[in-house]
Amino acid sequence: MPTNLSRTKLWSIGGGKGGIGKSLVTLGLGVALARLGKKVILIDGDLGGANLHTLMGVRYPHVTLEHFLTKKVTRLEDTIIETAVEGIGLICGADDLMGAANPTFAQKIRLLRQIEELPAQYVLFDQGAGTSFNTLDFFNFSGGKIALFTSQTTSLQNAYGFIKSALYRKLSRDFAKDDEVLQLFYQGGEGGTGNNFSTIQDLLDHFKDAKPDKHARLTRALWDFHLFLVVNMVKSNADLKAPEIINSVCRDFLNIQPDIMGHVLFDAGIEAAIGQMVPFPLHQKKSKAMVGLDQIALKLVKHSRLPRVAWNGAREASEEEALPLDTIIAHPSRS
Amino acid sequence: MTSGHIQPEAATNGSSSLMLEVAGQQKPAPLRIPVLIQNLSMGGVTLTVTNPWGIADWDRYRGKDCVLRMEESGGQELINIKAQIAWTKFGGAGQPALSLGLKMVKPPEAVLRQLSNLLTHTSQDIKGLWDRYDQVQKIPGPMPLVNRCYIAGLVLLVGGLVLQFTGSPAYKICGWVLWLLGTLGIAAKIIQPFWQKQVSSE
Repeated sequence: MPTNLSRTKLWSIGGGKGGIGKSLVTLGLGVALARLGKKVILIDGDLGGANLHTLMGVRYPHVTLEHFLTKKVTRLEDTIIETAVEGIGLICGADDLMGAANPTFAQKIRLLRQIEELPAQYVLFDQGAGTSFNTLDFFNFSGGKIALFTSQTTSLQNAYGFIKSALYRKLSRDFAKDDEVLQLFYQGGEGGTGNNFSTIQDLLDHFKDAKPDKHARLTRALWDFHLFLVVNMVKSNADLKAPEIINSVCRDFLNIQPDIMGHVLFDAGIEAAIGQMVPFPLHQKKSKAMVGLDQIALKLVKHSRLPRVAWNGAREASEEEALPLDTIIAHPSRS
Repeated sequence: MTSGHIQPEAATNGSSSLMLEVAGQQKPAPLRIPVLIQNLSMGGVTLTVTNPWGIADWDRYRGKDCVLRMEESGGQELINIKAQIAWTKFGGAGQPALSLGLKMVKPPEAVLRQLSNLLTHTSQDIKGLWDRYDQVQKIPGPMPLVNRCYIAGLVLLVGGLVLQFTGSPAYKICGWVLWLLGTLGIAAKIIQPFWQKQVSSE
């Protein structure tokens, strides 16, 4: 698989569990970015159960990802459907072809390469539920990774499982030719194996003195896995603790430090919007959910452009590093 | 939003032994069965018998009252909780020889935590997740603004009425203002559900 295209352009929204609002958050985030004057393309990555187009009010998409995967359409760009929201293009998911739900490695490479060439500043990839290798690969490939969950216990468990699976998938690819490391990963990933590697920190400690080169590679790989957390359907202050729980477990057991990107309030009005097949931000003038999504969109833009402190402490260069944030976030009302 | 690091409470050591005491039918001394914890829920626990030899007619213990005791190697008793044997089971191939399910009545949280520390097959990170979840559940959240208004309103209303009916004429106006403010606070609480419903429908 190719290296990351651009940390700034492709953002995936995943979370393992179904019904937590991945598609709605993708849609709302797309609208929020479009309102900031950005050109956005939404991709429904739920191969096998696509419905982002329905949420966007598109009943009969004439072209979908399936056409691209089966080479009926050569360019991914030609599968973009214009939507009712200015600035947002939509690539509908495939939902009626067995083959499309399980693309081959070559199909995935072709898709990912063409995502890079899409005419948009931001591409938001709505991931399907579950932790299939396809889902994990698309998530890992994205420069921006958003793990979405609710405060429900089942969602917390699935979100952590999803993050862990994605990380182990990435590490197993990064260390594909290193049997020793792979073996230790898989032993550590299972409970009750009797080994001493219950956390990734144990692995790092193991390699620190004995194999400093592996220690450095593993540290780098963990640093590369930069993750953002968003909690959806927030009904009370207690629900805001959910991302802190995930953050804490990720730090202690996976040695990654996710950023808490924000929260989205529960909005009863969304159900009515879905029923009327109107994109929910257009259905309500004052959507409670959009308040949080607007803030998340601003953070997304900021994180897309600002350089990160590199794994070895140096600053990672960014093409648009010199641009001040005011010019990056060009709100239509200000321009 | 903060990203404070939640740390679960320290776990107890794993060198404890778990013993189930079942009242004997004929013998005055209770039957003491060494057990291992296999699974745990909020109101129940699944145990396996570590040494099944000598226990005859296992099914007859179903429905019996029992006591689950956990002792440290030093002899200090950490858990002493009454329970009832909900079910008993003979294991098949590859399964523990004897297992049983206990129903605990409102087990204290500390007991559940200590029992969970004895689970041997649980992956540490999942346990860490639930420990943190439990930790967060214990932290009382701030009272919603409307509830604060309601309580303040009640206090003001009572205070205002007392002043108006018992105070001097100079305090009566003050009392009138207080109970009016109090009424507004209470009204806020009453109106809130209707207001929320209207906003949602919009």
